Amino acid sequence: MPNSSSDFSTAWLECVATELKSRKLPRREITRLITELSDHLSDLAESLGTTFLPPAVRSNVPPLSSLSPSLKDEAMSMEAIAANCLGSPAEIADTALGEFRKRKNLLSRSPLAAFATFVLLPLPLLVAAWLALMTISGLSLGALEAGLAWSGILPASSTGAADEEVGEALGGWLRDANQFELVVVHLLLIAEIAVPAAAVAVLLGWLARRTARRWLWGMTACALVGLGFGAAQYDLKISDLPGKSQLMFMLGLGHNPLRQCCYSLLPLGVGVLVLRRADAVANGTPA
Amino acid sequence: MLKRKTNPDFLNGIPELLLLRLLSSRPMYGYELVQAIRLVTGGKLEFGEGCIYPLLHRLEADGLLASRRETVGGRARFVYRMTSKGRSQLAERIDTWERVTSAVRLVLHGGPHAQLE
Repeated sequence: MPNSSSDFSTAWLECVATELKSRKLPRREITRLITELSDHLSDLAESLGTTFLPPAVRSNVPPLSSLSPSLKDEAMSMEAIAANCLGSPAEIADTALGEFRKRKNLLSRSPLAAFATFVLLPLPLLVAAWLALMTISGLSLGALEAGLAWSGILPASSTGAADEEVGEALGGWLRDANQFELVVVHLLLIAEIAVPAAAVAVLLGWLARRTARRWLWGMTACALVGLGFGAAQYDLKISDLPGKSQLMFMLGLGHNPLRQCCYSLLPLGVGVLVLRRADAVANGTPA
Repeated sequence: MLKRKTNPDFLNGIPELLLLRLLSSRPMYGYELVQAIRLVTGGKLEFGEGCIYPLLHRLEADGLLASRRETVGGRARFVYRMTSKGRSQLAERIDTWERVTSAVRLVLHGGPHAQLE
């Protein structure tokens, strides 16, 4: 095959790239398209060369520069045929722009939207998820307490009690709790901050599957969620004095930074699982 | 009851339908796809071969195809394969295409109740 990276091919591909740039397509899209067109051009030139080159040349193809002028012209004209098969640069650029605009998913179309979603959104989303779960937990506790009072397990006076009374009742229960019950309480509190973090990581990983650079965006978002989750901690103080037990949720570096670092790996792990699953589904292989 | 589209885009979807159908049989790279279209249609469809790539990229962005840079025949190429979403979309598009073509055929060749002047 003649040297397919001839001046003609290079000039033609540069012309396509210029047309694509003039239509303001993202650089990544342009690079990908030019790579594929270059591959296609090579395949086409190879195919045409095999078909049309004179037998003397076909059997032992020398570099283009070493061909005689007539064979060189023939090789150059094959390049022209190849470029003609691919379409004009303007036609390809128009199609590329049209198809880019037709994409259904904003995240795959706009790097700005992807940046907003995967860099700016994760931490506010995580905080919102924590607040939502804490609200749901509070309401559930209230409902549970009302149910227990209605069934007679708790004194009737507790029904409709103010938050302080509920807190006092819980504090009293914690004071009398055995070791196993305390472990369960701590696990529930860890779940209170871990479940929203994992859910947000799943959501962002799922959204990242729709973008062209899913691993980059997905892992960036999960790393940010990991930072937030690593910084989250709770402080449960059980006091012997009624009404003095405290539960606080906060952000920051606590007594055990190593444990917080380990926590921050959870959203990353979730992100890897979601994205690997997406890859497996896309490639039609088992996850 | 199925939601009925009032303006089916039966003309716009032909290249996508062909690509999805060909890729449902096996993964292929761009040049292979062009050759397959030429072979299957007997060269009856004329198109700028370079225009196939933007279409493939859109189908990939919409989650119907996936691609990976692989070495084929000693050269690195972007090989496209169909996703599960692509398979269900293909079935839907084939169904739409068959309904539309049979309707058009009835008009062109005259159905049992056709009364053309």
